[in-house]
Amino acid sequence: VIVESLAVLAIVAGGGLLVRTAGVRGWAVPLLGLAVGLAVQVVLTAALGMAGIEAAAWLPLVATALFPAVWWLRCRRAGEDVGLAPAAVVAVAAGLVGAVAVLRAAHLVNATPDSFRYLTTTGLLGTGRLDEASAFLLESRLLTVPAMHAPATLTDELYLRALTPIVAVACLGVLAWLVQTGLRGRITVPSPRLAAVAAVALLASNNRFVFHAFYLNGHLLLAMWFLLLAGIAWLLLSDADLVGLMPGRLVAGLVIIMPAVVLTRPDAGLMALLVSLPLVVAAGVTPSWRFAILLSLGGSIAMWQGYLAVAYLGDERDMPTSVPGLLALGLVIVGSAVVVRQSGTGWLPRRSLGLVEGSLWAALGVAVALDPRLLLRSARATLVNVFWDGGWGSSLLVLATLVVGVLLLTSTPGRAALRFPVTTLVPLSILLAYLRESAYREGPGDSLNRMLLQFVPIAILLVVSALATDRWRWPGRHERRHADAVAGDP
Amino acid sequence: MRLVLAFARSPAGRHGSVMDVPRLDFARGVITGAIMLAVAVNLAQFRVIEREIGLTYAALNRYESAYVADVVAAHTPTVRQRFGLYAELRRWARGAEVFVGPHSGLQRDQLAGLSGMGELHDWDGSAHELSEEEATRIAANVVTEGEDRWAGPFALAVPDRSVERLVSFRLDDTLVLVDGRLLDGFEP
Repeated sequence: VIVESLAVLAIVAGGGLLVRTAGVRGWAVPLLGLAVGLAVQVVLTAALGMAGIEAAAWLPLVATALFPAVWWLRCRRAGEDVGLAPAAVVAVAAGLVGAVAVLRAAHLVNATPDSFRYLTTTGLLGTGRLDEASAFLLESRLLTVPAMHAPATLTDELYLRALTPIVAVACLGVLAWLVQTGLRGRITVPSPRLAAVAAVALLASNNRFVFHAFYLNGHLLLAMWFLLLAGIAWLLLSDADLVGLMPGRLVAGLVIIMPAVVLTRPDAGLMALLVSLPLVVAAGVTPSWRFAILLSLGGSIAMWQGYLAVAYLGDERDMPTSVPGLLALGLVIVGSAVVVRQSGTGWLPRRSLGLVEGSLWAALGVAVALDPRLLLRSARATLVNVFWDGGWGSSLLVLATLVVGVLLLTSTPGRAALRFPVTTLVPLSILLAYLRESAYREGPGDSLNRMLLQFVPIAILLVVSALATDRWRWPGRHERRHADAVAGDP
Repeated sequence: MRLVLAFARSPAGRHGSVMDVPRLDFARGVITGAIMLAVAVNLAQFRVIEREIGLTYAALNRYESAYVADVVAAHTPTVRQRFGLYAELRRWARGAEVFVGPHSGLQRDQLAGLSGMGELHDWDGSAHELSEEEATRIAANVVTEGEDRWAGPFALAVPDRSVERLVSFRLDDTLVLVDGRLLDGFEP
């Protein structure tokens, strides 16, 4: 209990201090703090592990708490309003220790074969033996999930038993904060607080969300981080009342979590690109924001794939084509970061998001023409999973109906930040089946069936964000153009 | 839905229907109501999903113990076949050096990571002739047996948990993992 409590406290403290300096206040500080602090801890642990340093289990925890504390003190000395109420700090710390004790005693855990492969890497990472991991293990399970559990190896365990459910609570907290902040000053009935409660209830009551709240895997992490990426983009691109918040530092938070996202799953970098694209191409976004986001994303992808390439060469095994392919993608993103910084985004087509989405559908069309059977098998399995076998009940059908309904009937500024990741999921997920050269399968363990959770919180935020609409009709041509322009298509 | 569409057609401006506040509040109430209805649907079907989805993918799985070896032991045959051997090694011989005989079928990354074994060495088991006394000692100290996906049938023989050297070799079709102390004059 002691080591796990210290680990969780270090993560929440470091992340909490960072988000406090971005202007986040009150109950949201520890919850958003966990989301950001965990990313810091993961990235530092992965970096030390790749360097073969045995202290990868504890040193990153110290650094996760220490560096933000130094930054927070600097901001405080500069006269910024970043204070924290001592009583609240003590209450949060006590609550976290209590939560760790209760969750450890509950013995609730969900594990599949993938989980034990993640824990294999945890054991290697925590003891400074990452060089003994096979290139295939690194490529398929990456480092984020192993790194978040690495402190467990200090007590000869392989996972922090309370951390995953605490991440689930943080994910709910991120959703609540985004709803409340995004709707603040824009609606009175229902109040933003009631809207936040409704959003949280919709996510928390979903059977698959509860499954992932105890599941040793990375989908919940991506759900939380993608929500943060899309949600902050929505806040920045909409008319949200950001009084007290520092937008530049919110974007810095996105830059921090990007490497942790990339190291979570093989396809996470590609998905992060799509999730962050609405912000990157939006008109009026500061060039340095675009540069920082793209550099963080592209640099993380390129560095990780480079590390994998070296690992494959060391293993003397055939390198899968995805490694050089994603390495090239990472470098292209880094290159585009430089171009965007130098020459802005004025040269981008007027409807870049539409073009990207259209390109995904076109690529899917080509793939289907080459191998229609794979599409049919994947589509059939996915339909079976969504409606019967996947453990979703009718929740996805209901959520999809709500999404389509609000997209047709309402219009809110900046919504492309939430709509784009959800609607591009359809062609992207099927394209991924072609890239991995195998169809999706029936059953709750299918990878797409598990991946769907990564986008459910964004879809819920999309639905709830419609409460800010002042229009209520089928969109006409003019309105559509108006919405796109505000949403950031340059 | 008809009510919603009725609102959709109400006073149209150039950018869509910009509605007066009471109607707008009502429309927002419709969205909130739809969300709460979706919550109710989620709650109503939660237990049904739990009943039908099976042990591995049920949302709430409570184990007697959350220690990794215990979770594996209580898990499905598929998981036990893939990770049971390594979980048992973690339980009985964590930290021991392992001398891996030929054709063992052992996964090195799982030995180091999941089992937490010490250094791994290649070892030519054929150099060691197993005496009858050794075989008897080994048989008397078997703490667990099973079937591994890659190694096939296995048996782990250790007198206690203070194992420093673990030796693996094949005996007939079975992979035998033995504490070095059970072998006479074992020298790597």
